[in-house]
Amino acid sequence: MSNALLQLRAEIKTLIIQTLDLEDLTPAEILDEAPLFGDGLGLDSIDALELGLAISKKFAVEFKAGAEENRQHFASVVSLTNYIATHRKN
Amino acid sequence: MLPLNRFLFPQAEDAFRLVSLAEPGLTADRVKQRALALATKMQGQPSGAWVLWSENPLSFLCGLLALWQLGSPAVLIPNCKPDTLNLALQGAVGLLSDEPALQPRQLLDFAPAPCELIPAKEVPLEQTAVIVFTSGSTGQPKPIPKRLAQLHSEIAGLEREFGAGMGQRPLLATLGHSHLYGLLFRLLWPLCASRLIPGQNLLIPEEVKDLAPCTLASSPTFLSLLAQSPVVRDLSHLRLIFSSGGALAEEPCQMLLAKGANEVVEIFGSSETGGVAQRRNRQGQPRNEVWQPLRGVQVRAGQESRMQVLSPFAQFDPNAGWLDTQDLIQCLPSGEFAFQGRGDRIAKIGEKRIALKAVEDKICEHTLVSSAVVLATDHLPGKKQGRLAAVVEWQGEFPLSPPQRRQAASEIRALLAARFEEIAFPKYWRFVSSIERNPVGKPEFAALLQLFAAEDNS
Repeated sequence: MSNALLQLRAEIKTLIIQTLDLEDLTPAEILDEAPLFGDGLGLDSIDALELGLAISKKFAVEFKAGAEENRQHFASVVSLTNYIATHRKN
Repeated sequence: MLPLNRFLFPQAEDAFRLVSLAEPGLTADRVKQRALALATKMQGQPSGAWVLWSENPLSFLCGLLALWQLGSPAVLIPNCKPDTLNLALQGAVGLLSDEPALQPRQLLDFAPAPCELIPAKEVPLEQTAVIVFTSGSTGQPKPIPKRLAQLHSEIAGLEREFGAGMGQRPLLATLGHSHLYGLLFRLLWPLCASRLIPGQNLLIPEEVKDLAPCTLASSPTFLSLLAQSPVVRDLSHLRLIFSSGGALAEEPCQMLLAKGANEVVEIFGSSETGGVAQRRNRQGQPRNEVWQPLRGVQVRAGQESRMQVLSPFAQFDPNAGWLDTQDLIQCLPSGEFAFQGRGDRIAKIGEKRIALKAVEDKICEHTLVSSAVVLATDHLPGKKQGRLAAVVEWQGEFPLSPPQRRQAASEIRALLAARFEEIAFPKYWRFVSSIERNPVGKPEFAALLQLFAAEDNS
C-alpha cells in the first residue's frame, strides 16, 4: 500500500464527514472496508449525490453513467479511493 | 392526442409506432398484446384494487393498462417496504408485481395467455384509475382515488400548454413512475402524446452531458446538483426543464439558465391536487417568485391562508366543492399567488412528503424510547438543510458516549427501515432524559432548537 493511497483514504474519510456533516464520528472510526450505505455508515441516495458532487469538485473526477458501476465505486472508502486514484485529473 | 382510455385501440397507423427507447421493438401493438395477455390470465382473480409494484416502467405501464381493462384500480406505493405494503394491501385484493422477493398474489409477467385473449374494451372515464397515498399529518397515510378522467384532463392540459414547444424531442427523466408526478410525466403523457417514453432514469448529473436536444423532467434535488456540477458546464441542449416535487431554490434555477438551459418550468402540486400552478423561468428574465394557476384550475386562500383548489385534476365531480390543502398561500390581484410554507407537520425530503408524526411513532417503538420529536432541519441554522433531525427521550443510562449514541441511532434506524426509505431517517440525533414540554404537553420548540445549537451534542 503506497503512502499516497493511504493519504487519499484519510482525505476521503474527512471529506465524507465534512460534506455530509456526520456527527459523533471521527475519520479514524470509518473503517476502510465498511459499507458506506445501508448497514454501514447509513448513507442514503441524497448523500450519495452530494458526495459525488464534492468528489468531482475536489479531485476533478467524473463519474460515468451506469447505476451498478457507481454503486460499486461508492461501496466503501477503499473502492472510492481506488476509483479516484485512477480517474482524478488533478 | 390519444385519449388515455382508448390507448388499447391504437388506430391502424398508430399500432406500429414505437413506444419507448428503452425497448426498441416495443410498438403500441405489443404493449396492447402484453396488457391483454396479463388481463386474460387475471380473469379468475377477484376484482377490486390491486397494489402494483415494478421497478421497470414499461412493465409497470402494461400492468396498469391490464388492471384498467379488468375495471380494477392500481394502488400506487412510494416504496415496497413491509409497512408500506401492509397498509396498501388493507384496501386491495392483492399485490401485482414482478419483484421476486415480494411473493405477489399475481405475478406481473407478460408470457402469452394459455387461451384466447379477452378483447380490448374502452375503459369508462369515470373508472377509478389509481389510488395514491398522501402522507396525512396524523402519521397515517390517506388513500386518494383518482379517476381516469382526472389523469386524462391533466395530461391534455400539459400537452396544450407545453406540447408545441417540446415537439418530438425526446423526454428524459429522473423520476420514479409510481408517484403521480412521475406517472403522468414519464409514462402517461408521452404515451398519449406519441412521444417516446423515457428509458432508464438519469441518476447522476454527468449523464446529462453530450445529449441530443431534449426535454428533462426532474426534481429540485437532482437539478440543484446538475446546476452545481463542475463536469456539466453546458446545458444549451436542454430546451425545457420541468421541476416538480418541491421548491427549486433561486440560485440553482439561475445557474441552470446561466449554463444555457432555455427554460425551467416549475410545477406546483401534490398527489391529491394534481398540478395546481406553474412558474416559468426563462433566460435573461428576472426570477419569477409567484405562481400562475394552470389553465382550468381555480385557487383561493381559505381559512388561515390555507390554499383551496377547484380543478378537474383534483376533483372528478365538478360539484364536489373546494378541496382544502395544508399549503399556505397569499393570493395576488393578478390571479397569481405566493407560497408561504406548510400549515402542518409534513416535511419534504428529497421530494417525498414525510409525515413527521409517523417517523416519531416509529422511533418510539424502540424499547428505551419514551417519546420523540422530529423536525425539519430547515429550522436549524448551520445544519444541512432539507433533512430531518430527532430529539429522543431516552430511558437508558446517561451520559452517552459518541459510539453509544451512534449505536442507539443505528438501532432506531433499523426500526425505521421497516416503513421508510433512508432519506426519511433523521440525520441529527439528540438523546435527552426528558423532552421539555409546555403546560398542554407540546414540546418547547425553542428548547429543541437549543439542543442543536449547542456544541456538545449529547
